Amino acid sequence: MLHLLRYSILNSARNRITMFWSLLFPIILGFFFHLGFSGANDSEILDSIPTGVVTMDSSHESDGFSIFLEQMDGDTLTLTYFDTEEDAAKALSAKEISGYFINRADRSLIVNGTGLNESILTQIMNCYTQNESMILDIAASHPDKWKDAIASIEGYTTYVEETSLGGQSLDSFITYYFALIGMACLYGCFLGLDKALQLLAYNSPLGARRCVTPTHKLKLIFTDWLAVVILHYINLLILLFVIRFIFHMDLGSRYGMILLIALMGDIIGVSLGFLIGCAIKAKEGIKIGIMIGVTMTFSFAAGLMFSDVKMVIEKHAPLFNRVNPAALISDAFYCISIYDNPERMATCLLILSIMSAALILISFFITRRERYDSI
Amino acid sequence: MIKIQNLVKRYGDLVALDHLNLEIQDGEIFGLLGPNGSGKTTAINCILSLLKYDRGTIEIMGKEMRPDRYDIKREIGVVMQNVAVFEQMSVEENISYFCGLYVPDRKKCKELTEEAIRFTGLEDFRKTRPKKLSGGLLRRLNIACGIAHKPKLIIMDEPTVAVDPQSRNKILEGIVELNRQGSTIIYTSHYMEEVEQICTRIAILDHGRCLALGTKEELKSMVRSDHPESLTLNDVFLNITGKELRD
Repeated sequence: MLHLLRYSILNSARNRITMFWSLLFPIILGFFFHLGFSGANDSEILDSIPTGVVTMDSSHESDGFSIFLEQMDGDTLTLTYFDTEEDAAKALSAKEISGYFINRADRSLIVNGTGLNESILTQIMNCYTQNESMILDIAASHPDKWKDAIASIEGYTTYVEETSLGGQSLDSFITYYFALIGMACLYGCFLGLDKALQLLAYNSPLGARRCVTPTHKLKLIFTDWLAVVILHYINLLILLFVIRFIFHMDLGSRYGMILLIALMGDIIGVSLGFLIGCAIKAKEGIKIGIMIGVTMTFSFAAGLMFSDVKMVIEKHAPLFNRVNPAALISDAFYCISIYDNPERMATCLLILSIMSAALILISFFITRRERYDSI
Repeated sequence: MIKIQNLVKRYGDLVALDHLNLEIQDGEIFGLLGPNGSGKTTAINCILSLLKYDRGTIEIMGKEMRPDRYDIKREIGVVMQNVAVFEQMSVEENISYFCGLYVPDRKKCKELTEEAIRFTGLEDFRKTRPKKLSGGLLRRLNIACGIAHKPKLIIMDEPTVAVDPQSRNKILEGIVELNRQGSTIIYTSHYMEEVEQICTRIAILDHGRCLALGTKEELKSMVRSDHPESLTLNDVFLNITGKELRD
């Protein structure tokens, strides 16, 4: 059996067309994702907002609000000080600043628009005013709690750290890579189809020659199936390596689980190709067309092109997501990398296992038939 | 070696084999002749249990042939009409792979592979992939894959199609040598002269029936001619099967 396995792997590994689709194409697609997404996260870091400060009364030059603004200078805000409100208004008209604070007894903010910068300045103003009011109230009514109130505000002003639900990976584009891995798993079908074409007497002379040998049909089928499962698993490991260490995407730290999901995806992809190759009695080109159509539909529905599609399907036709192998694979990855939800991942893997077993059994049942009506 | 009795195979309304009866003896090179669509390849596919048939029996080596008769299949070598090899594997790998399907012992398989490479004269091409081989070399590889395990019965379905005379001569010499080594051979071809050259007995099939069977001399004696000494197998064939086009 090792003899047959070795040659079967060798034969598939040297097939440039199937190896392109099952190995190179996902890597190339991942590379385009990498090009498209790299720097996209950086763009979310906001530039500091050019802001004017007009201090009408020297008594306010060193009050709390001035100190509060100075602390943000060079970080959230870029402050420019004006002696008169007119100068600040001119700068605002010339769009040199997004708004200006007038620091006096009735503190105010002047903005000239409703953009993001203006909203942030308004929020800063409101936040300070509310906190100031709260502190003054507490100081008047509960002077003993005054220090605690100050501490709580300081606590509030510490940076909020963005994190995922499960405390795992953070990259917002990881969904695309999960869908890509799901697609790559399904693209094992090209290897599976190629093997099915070489197995059946009505598919090729090669199939006929193999059918008349004394090697048991199930042994032939199993050897071929196992060969492409092993080969495609190596393909997936290469893809995972590239995504993790070349594209620097954080897939989480549970490598054992990642490898298990990849294996399940590998098995279902190969088995899908096997089934299409065995069950559909048509020319090779038609079988390939059907296979591409099926895999691309699954991948699209799993969010490969638009990540929102998966959510829309989950809302309107959740059952489709439960039987879409690409969605199940990406969901399983999501469970270990984002949600930290091993139960849901186990469910995904269980469904994949059942589907794989069904595909394999149907394929085996079809191919084990040894005599044909016509070839 | 092979006994076919009342074999009937239908493709819908078309009767491909019509109560075919044939008996092939041990040690023969048995020629199976017939126009296109006469039922030669269908008969071979039935013998190999690739095709279901509607009626009749096929016995090989005294045992009924079924798809699960692996003991019989082990003794059969097949050279398909179309070249049936893996394009991604070298000459040596192809022969070794197919030999391995018959011979599980790896050492024995290696020896037989080497022998088949020598027998078909492919020593200089052992690392070459099939698509880089000429038509003649490709046919020889096809033969090597079918005979490497030293079968007792070899079925060759038009093994010399589209090869030059030199390659054809080499192939025919090889077939005679295989027969000399003890293999029974069933040989189909459209080239009358090569059938006449190597076959000990010949059957002429048409419309799924065996119209004539015997040695070349016996077949020639079936045809009335003013010059019997100048009769060829081609004359006999056309006389029996007619001259109208079939395709």
